[in-house]
Amino acid sequence: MVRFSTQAGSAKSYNVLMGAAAATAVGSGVSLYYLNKNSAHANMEADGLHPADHPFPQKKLMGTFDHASIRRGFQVFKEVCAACHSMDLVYWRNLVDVAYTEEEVREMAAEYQYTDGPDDSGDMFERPGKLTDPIPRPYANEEAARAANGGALPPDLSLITKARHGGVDYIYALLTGYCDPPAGVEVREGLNYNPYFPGGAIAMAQNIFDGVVEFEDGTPNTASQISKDVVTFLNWAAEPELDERKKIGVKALMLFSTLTAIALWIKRNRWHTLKSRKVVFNSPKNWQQQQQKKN
Amino acid sequence: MVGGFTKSISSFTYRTFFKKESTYFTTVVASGVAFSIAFNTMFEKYWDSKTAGTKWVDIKGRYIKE
Repeated sequence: MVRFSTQAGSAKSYNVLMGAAAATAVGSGVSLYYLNKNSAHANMEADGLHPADHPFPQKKLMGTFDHASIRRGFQVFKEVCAACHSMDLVYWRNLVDVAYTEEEVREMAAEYQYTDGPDDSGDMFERPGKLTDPIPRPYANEEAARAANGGALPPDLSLITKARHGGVDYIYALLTGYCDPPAGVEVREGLNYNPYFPGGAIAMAQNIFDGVVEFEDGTPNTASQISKDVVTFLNWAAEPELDERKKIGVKALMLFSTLTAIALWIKRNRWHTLKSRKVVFNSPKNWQQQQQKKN
Repeated sequence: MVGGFTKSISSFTYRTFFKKESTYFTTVVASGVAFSIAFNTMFEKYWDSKTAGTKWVDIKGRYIKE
């Protein structure tokens, strides 16, 4: 019987057993990962087609936002998406010094009317928007949104890139992935086929086409460029702290790894006396022999 | 008169900075402040060069009205 103990048994059988255990662990890990990634099953449509890996700069470990893209993306959102989607958690003031100057945001906010009040006679009144107002909602409440969209609720987009599995890749693939359903797949009246949407049938129709928005900085307005910019804007809306977080993160990695290395060295330095000492046990059996040798 | 001592840099550092707790503490705080300023300045320069052209401060020049 082979035991793992190093006190009994030969080193060779121990090494063989350890090697076999390690190989089993690594082999099963690799196999399970491969099976998970490449499994095919009858209900894959329910998971949605896995989106491709797109090179958004903010996805990299030390990557940050392209703020020109955020600016274009907000323009796309305002002109195309805001007709149906709310963004309750983003306020006009959040855009200042991120994608627009303060004057530009004041102008944009003032284009919209907000209900405020009550005034001194107790009535609510309408006034132009201020920096402290949220991005305006297209519908007053969920019921109005559902009624205007065939029973489907266009989700709030403030956190959508964090709220969907696949993040920016998924949203981009969804926006650009509309196509005809494959032979035999029926999509009911009112829904549209999109392979990336779990289930395949999404209530939102394709809204982003070539040239649907004109960019002021002259960027070519292809459907893929428009989608890329709006996805970058949505990512910023969900993670406005990303630039600062990545910066602090890199600093933290640098400092902590240095301090850890120093700490490890200091520990080994303080312990080296103990670790390199030799302890000799002079058994009483030897005392008599030693006494005789001395004499 | 100073007592006998080893004429090495490490011995000098120990006697001047590390032997008394008051000087040790001052050394720790002062080098911490100095390191912090130096590290942050150098890192900021490095980070700004890595993210050149993408930040708001880089593009706001196009949109300021005089």
